[in-house]
Amino acid sequence: MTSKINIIHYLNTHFVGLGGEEKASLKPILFDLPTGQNERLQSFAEGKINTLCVIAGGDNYAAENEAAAIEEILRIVQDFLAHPYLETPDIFFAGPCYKAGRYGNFAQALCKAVSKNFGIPAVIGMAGENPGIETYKDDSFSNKKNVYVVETSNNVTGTKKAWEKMISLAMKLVNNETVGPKSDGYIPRGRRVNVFTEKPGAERALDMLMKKVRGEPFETEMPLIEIKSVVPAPALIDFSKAKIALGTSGGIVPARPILNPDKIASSDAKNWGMYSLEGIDALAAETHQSVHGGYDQSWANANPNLVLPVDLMRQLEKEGVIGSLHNEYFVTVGNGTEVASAERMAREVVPRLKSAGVEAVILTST
Amino acid sequence: MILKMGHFFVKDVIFGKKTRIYNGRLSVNGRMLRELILSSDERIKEVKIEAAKPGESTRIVCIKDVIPVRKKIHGAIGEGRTDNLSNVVVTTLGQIISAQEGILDMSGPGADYSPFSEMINICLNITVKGGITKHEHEKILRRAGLRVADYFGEVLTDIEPDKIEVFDSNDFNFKTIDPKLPRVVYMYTLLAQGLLHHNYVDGHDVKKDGLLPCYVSPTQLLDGLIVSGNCVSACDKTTTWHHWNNIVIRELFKRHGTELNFVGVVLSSLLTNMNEKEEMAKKAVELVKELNPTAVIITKEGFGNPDADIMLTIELLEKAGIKTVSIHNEYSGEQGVSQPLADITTHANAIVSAGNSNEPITLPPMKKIIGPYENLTILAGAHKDSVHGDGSITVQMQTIYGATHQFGDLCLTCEEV
Repeated sequence: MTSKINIIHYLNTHFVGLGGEEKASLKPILFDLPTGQNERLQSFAEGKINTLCVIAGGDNYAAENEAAAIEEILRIVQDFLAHPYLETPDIFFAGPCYKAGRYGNFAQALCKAVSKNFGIPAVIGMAGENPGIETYKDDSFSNKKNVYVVETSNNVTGTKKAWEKMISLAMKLVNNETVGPKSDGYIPRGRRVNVFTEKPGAERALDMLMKKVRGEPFETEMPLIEIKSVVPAPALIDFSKAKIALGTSGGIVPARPILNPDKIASSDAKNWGMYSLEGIDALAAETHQSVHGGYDQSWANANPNLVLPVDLMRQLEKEGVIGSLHNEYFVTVGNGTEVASAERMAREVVPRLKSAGVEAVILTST
Repeated sequence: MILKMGHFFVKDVIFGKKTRIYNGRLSVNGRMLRELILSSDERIKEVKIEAAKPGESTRIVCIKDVIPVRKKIHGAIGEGRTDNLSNVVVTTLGQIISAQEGILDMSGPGADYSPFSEMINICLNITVKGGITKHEHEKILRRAGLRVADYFGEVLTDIEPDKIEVFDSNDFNFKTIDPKLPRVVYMYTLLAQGLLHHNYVDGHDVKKDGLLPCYVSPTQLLDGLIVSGNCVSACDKTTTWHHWNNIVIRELFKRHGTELNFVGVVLSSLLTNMNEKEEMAKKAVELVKELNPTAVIITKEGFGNPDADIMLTIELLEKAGIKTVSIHNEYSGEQGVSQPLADITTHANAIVSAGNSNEPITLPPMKKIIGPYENLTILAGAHKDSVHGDGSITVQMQTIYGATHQFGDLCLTCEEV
């Protein structure tokens, strides 16, 4: 348990006392002693914080040259870390940035880069109205998993409160204690985790319903999600020359020489398989089986063409209705599958189909 | 209807000469029980009977169903008196047939994620003879479980229960209720999606025989109207135990007359085709509206396509000015960063989360394993690397029996951190 943490602190030129707008074009500079607002934070923290250095940047420079500014700061931190006699930072601080948009936006981008490059957590202070919060929220969890934004007041009047939150959260993070958005006042990072509650779900549901009926404020436990939609490709007018592929989320995989060669999971599949249809006129129970765990595959296993209609496609090929059936099909299991995995798999499969000259795909689901 | 339910708690389950309650313990004649099972169905080749108790280092693998032990003392279903052996259940297990069975740990961190770790599970590990189809296999095990639960029920003859609960639905629509309280309907949806994804209502197969939305008596539901026949992922499978102990119905009875008026239950089915989903939602909502409710609580079974049924229902109800709440588990991915539901409507502004079924958990090795352990890596929520060298396992919540069940039995939710 550490009772004193080493920090590196990013502030804009105004909060180190260099000046505001007139110094906003300054490139990042290093101060190797507590400076400006950081000095006040350090004395407020009563021995809990040890500032290793302060890095100050001009808001305009940072906003206009974000990548370069981040690069310069990373180099400063890197040099600092390389120094043999200096202590190493436990955590990176930025702000509080209050409502200042350029400041907040840059601080969140910088913290993500610092945390990613040096493997330390980062804490930022920002007001709810700061545009940096939206940018932060929109980013994926993997980019911000170790970056925490503490909500602050719009201006300096709430500074002490902001410091209190930042210090307390930082202490917990450095000591690997459990933290939560409600208990520690930071903005949720987009990752959902299971937690135990006092009351069972049924009681919580009726409590929520009664509040809703009485017109009292209530909080849903599953915020509305946005369902992404995909714009369909333009219709294929002439099938007779087209190469058409089959794809399925129904889990039809080769049964020999070994069943399910790519070990596609029966639920929450993470991978897909692409298998040959060369010389196959119709699938058979002996050669293809379903490994899907979400439907009764009895009939599909007796006749795999029911899920992956190779027999009908070959017939259409013979009749000249379609140009040809692509000689490989792709498959995964669509059962409790993460939408994120499904998206990734689609991005992996589609280029292969395109490079093989496939013009259309018939997808079957179960 | 008035249903009185007697509850009797046993101190232990022991194997002895007679099957009876003796000195507060349930004594089981294992030999006789084995004969009963073997003679009841000639397709059963072997059965191993074992008791798994709370706190033991035991892992049960490939559970099919969990069935309460009850005896009807007098009256028809939903009225009169029924007695219940509260902390003993009959747990059937056998070979996996469709990847969707699950596990139960009687101690350790996994035990916190199942209501069944607090009960004494009399496990029937059944092996059937060769040449049996999957559907027959499930039927044989289901019937054996129900038969054994019935057999144990007989021990409740002439036993004074520890407590008696009364469920009275007589005043639902009449004079004694406070007209100022909100009128609440429970919409109870059941999977009806084919041979391995369905249920039995009053002995009828909801898929084969069909189930149009209908009113059902809540006391009949608590008295065993529905028997589970589905094999969705273990975390959200509604076992027969869940149906007979439905916590939503119990909670509505508890609040009836003080906080709300519980005015009825509409039972509906979750089908696979979109037009059927639309039809069912529409019909169910028509029945709900007949009860003139202020609000509706909705529960569902399964995940993925049933989300669409629930969202259609919520939209219809909310548009009619009826407030809704629904209980859902989520499939937010192992990292918790994926989309939690397969479908949503902007009207669904009050949802209780029963937890993320994809969240992985590592469970320590257990001294005793009951059931076909070799099936563990192919259970839904497990994968080829789920079993570690020291016997510990890493599985998703999906694999644990009842972990994220959508009646909301457990004190579990999911939060964004």
